[in-house]
Formats: sequence, C-alpha cells, structure tokens
Amino acid sequence: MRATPEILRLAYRDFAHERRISLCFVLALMAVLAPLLILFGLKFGLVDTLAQRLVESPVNREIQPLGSRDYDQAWFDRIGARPDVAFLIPNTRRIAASLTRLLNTANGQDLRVVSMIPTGTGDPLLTSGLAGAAGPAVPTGLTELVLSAAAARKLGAAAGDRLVARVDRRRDERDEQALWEVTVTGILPDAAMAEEAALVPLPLLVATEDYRDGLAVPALGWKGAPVRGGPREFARFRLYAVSIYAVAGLAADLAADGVEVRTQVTEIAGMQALDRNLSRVFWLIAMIGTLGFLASLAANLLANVERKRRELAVVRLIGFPTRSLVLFPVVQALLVALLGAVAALAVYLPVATALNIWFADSLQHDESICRLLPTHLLIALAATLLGAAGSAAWAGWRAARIEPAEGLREV
Amino acid sequence: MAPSPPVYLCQGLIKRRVGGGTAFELLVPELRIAPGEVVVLQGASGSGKSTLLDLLALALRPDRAGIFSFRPEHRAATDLWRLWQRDDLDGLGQLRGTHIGYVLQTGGLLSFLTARENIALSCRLLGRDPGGLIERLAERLDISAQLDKRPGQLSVGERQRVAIARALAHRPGVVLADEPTASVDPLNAARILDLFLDLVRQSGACAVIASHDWRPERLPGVRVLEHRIERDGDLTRSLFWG
Repeated sequence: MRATPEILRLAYRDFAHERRISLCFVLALMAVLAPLLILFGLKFGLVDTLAQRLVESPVNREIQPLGSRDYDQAWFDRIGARPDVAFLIPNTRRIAASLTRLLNTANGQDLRVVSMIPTGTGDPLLTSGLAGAAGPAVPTGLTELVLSAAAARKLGAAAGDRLVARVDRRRDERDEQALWEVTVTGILPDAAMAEEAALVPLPLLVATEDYRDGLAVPALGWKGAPVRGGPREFARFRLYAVSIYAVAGLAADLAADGVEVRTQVTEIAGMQALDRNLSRVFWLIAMIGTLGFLASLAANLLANVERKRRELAVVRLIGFPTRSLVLFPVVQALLVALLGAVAALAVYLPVATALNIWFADSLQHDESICRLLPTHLLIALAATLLGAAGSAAWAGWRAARIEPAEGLREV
Repeated sequence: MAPSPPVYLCQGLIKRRVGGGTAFELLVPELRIAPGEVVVLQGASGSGKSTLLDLLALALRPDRAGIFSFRPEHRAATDLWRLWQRDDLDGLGQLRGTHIGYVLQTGGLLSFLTARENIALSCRLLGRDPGGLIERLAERLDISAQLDKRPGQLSVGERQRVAIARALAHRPGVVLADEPTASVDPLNAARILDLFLDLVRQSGACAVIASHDWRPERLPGVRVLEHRIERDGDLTRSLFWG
C-alpha cells in the first residue's frame, strides 16, 4: 500500500481546493499570533532594555566617598583587584578638582568653574551604552579632555576643538594663573552626565592640584615649589561596581573598612521591585495570550477535523490505515500553522520596524523597543507547528477510531 | 465437484441500534454468498439493508456474531468477528481496500478530486497503475467527457456512475452497492443497473446490492435474500438470510 504519499497528496489537494476556508484558518491564526509576537518583541526589546539600563547604568553602579581621606596605592590596588569592582581611579581633593575657566577662543564663549573628573581606560561613562555606539576616546596626557554635553553646549565646542584652560591660585600673597591649551577629544551625551564638567586624565588633575598647592608642574612649565617625593596619596576616588547587584556588598565592605560612601541602593531596590512587578505583569499577559493562542489554534483545528468527518470516512472506507487518517488533518494543520506563522511574521516585522523608528531618539546603541531574535522566531514557529500538529493528531486519531459507516451515513 | 467456499459466511450476526425510545435489531441467522454470485437485498426503507451492507463492507462493528468470516477468492478465510473484537481497524481497512468495492447511495466521492482521480484512488492506494482501465470503464459508463470534472460539476447520475467505476477500478472480489440507482430517474436507473451488473459479471466479482424498488424477476441469475420484519414491543427486528 502507498498510503502515506497518497494521503499527503490528498491533504494538500483538499487544502488547496478549499482555499478560501484555508485562508480563513490562516488569517485566524495570524490574528492571534501576530499580537503575541509583538508583545514578546516588546518584552525582549523595551522591558529588557529598561532592565539592562537599570543594571548597567553607571549612575546606579557608582559608589561615591563621603568626605576626604588619604588613600594610598596599596588601598587602590586592593580594592581595584576585587571581582565586583568594574572601575576605580584616584581623585583629588574636591576644592582642587576644577578649572577656573575654559574659553573657546574660536567663538569667545567660556565657562567658569568647571568640575574635573578623573577618567581612564574602562571608565563606564565612556564605555557604557550611555556613551553612544563608539564612545568618546579616553583622553590622555595633560592637554586632552572630554566635555559633558552641557559644557560643550555652553562653549559651543565639538570634538577636535581646542580650548584655553585656566587655573588660578594664590601663592605668597599673590594671585597667579596658569593658562594652557587643551583639545576636546569627545563629548559625552546628556544621558551620561547632566552637569557642566570635563573628564580629564588623572595626571592633569594631579597637575592642577599640585599647582593649586603652590607646587611646580614642569611638564606644563608652571613654576612653584619643588614637587614632593615619595608615594602620593589621594583624598577621594571614583568607584563603580560591576553591576547594581554588587553595589550593596561593596558599600558594606567599604563601610566596614571605615570608608563612608553614598550609593543608589535604596533607589535600586525600588527600581528592582518595579522591574519585578512589571515582569510579572508582562508574563501574566503573555501567558494568557499564549494559552489563548493555543486554545484558539486547537479549537480551529478540532473544528476543521469535525468538518472533515465525511472525507475521512470516505478515505477510511477506501482502505487507508489509521495513520493516514491522523496524517490527513496533521498535514493540513501544519500548512495552516506554517502559513499563519509566516503571515504573523509579515505583520510583526513592519510593526517592529516602525516602533523602533518612532522611538529611535530614546534608544542608545544596540537597543530596540521591539526585538525578537531568530531563536525567538524559531521557538514561536516550533511551538505553533507542534501545537497545530498535536491538536490535529489528537482530533485525527479520534476521527480514526470512528467506524467508517458512522461517517458514511452523512455522505 | 465440491462447491466453492463462500466469500461471506455469517451465522448469528447481530447489529442493534437504540434511540428515541425505540430499538432496531438486524439479525442474520445464516448467510452464504458464493464467489461470482449476485445477491440482492430487498426491503422497505429502514429495514436494515444499508446496515447489512456496512457490516459486509467491514465498515460497521457488529454487536455479536457466531460466525462472520470473509474469504476472498484464492485466499484463506479471515475471521472478521475476531478482527472486530481485536479492534483491528487497519486489518479490516486493508481487506476492504484490497478486496471490496463499495458504491454508496450518493456516490461518496471526494469533492476535491476529479472524477478520474476519484476512480484511480483505490488503485493508487494499492500501488497499482490503473493504466487505460479508467478510460475503458468511463467509456462503458458513458462518463468519458466527465473524467476531468469535479463531483460538484456532475449530475447525480454521473456521480453514481463515477462511484461505480471507482468501486470496480481496483478489480475487487466483492462489490457492494447501496441503492445505486435511487437518486436517478427510472430510465437512467435501468441503464445504470444494466451497466453495473454487466461490469460486475465481466469482472467475475460477487455483488451484494441493496434496493427497495427493483424487480429481481427481470434480472436473471440474481439471488434475492429472504427477509422478514418482526416487532416485539419497542423492538423492531429485521432478518435477512439465505
């Protein structure tokens, strides 16, 4: 007997013959699956992006020292070696960590009292998604800096511009000032830093601190008392944990070490609770949607098999075996599922593209509002095909158990 | 010379139907149908002719049977009652598909296949090439012009003739026909009946035909089964034997 190839042919011929009804089944499946794909797309795009931002945001990972203390190199080496530390760099006294004035000689715009923040390789403000696709280059030496967006606006400066920096001091009852030219190597986006500030290499910060302390900075030709020898100690530091989950532990260890710090722990806990609850709401909706989809799929296919009792009875009468009667609705269900999934994808893709375009301004590099990976689509397709085949096989098996004459009486 | 063993041998074959406060029982005390024999079931509507044909087509489960065996020509007898008890629907289906052709009252054609494909289906299932057989059958049944049409495009009489061709195409040893001319006008009915019997006799198959209005005396060489209706309260019992 050539039952299997014959039943495959019959199933397809019937599906094609009833093309309008088949199209209705396909559209019905698409109507349920497409919103589900978009919902999951939003979950893996919007919800995950927000959660990722929460976890990765340098603002939430920063641990700021309260007050000043003397931190030696051994302390920095010890803390910097911890696996829960993402970035650590010494910082000078707050009073010394500012430029008196920055001037853009090209347009005459200037900025007074500009905070200087030490930076270096691995600085989350330069490397996280907040900094954009490539991120500004890390400034080096004594004549490079990265401006915050607010500072750049005030100065009318862009990357590559040259500015004149000034630091004032009072030494031996006389006011003195040091002027030197600096190059803007990059601009931080607003999301990374709101204040008017400049990210500068540690040596530049050390140089200005020394200058303010009345010391000479030979590299920049600034005169003053000779530089003290011996290892240097720093009053403050910039510290970032690897993730928001590491912040509380790190802060506790520092506190135990006698270092008072300020963190976003309370805000993080609040945001995490919100994230958890939002995720629960999403999964609840997704679960109800998925169950609805599977119920709708099963109901449609079961109804189709009921409708096909006559054909199945004739096929049985002609001598086709049970597996053929199961295969007949399964093949048709798989065709419906495949075409419905493709149609749902055809709806999902433009909707996802439109959402991502509409929200492009709010997105950072590599972020999407609506996103499904190929793996997600394959899982959706596999679930649809399996659900369809399972429902149809069950209905077909039930139909196959009926004696042919039961269906024939309707013929 | 010993008589050929019967194709069907039934003893104490019973099928009951209950519903609507009434009960119907088909009882076949004894039935033997020999190879090549043409048998007619006559009786009023509702007398159980279709039920008996369904039982003989292995398409309906009997409620009880003393003996219910099927012996296609040149084959060993198969105990149908045992197959039903074992719920071996595939075994029954294989016997049916190989050895039985069944003409249903309203054709029973698959609407999504052409007449040609409907006729060829049994052959294709068995892996046989119908070759020119379809054209020859169609020519005899005068449906050559209809072979590439779907059942929905055919008249009732044409569908009936396509169903006859489908029942004969795979050369079965048994042909069953349930009121094959009931849906056509008397002139066409007589013509279809003559063609049907002619083809059956040419094929050498045995045939069992259910009809409520035939006059068998006009059909030589046809055996009519004995039939009686008994009523016992709410139970109507229909007996066929012979």
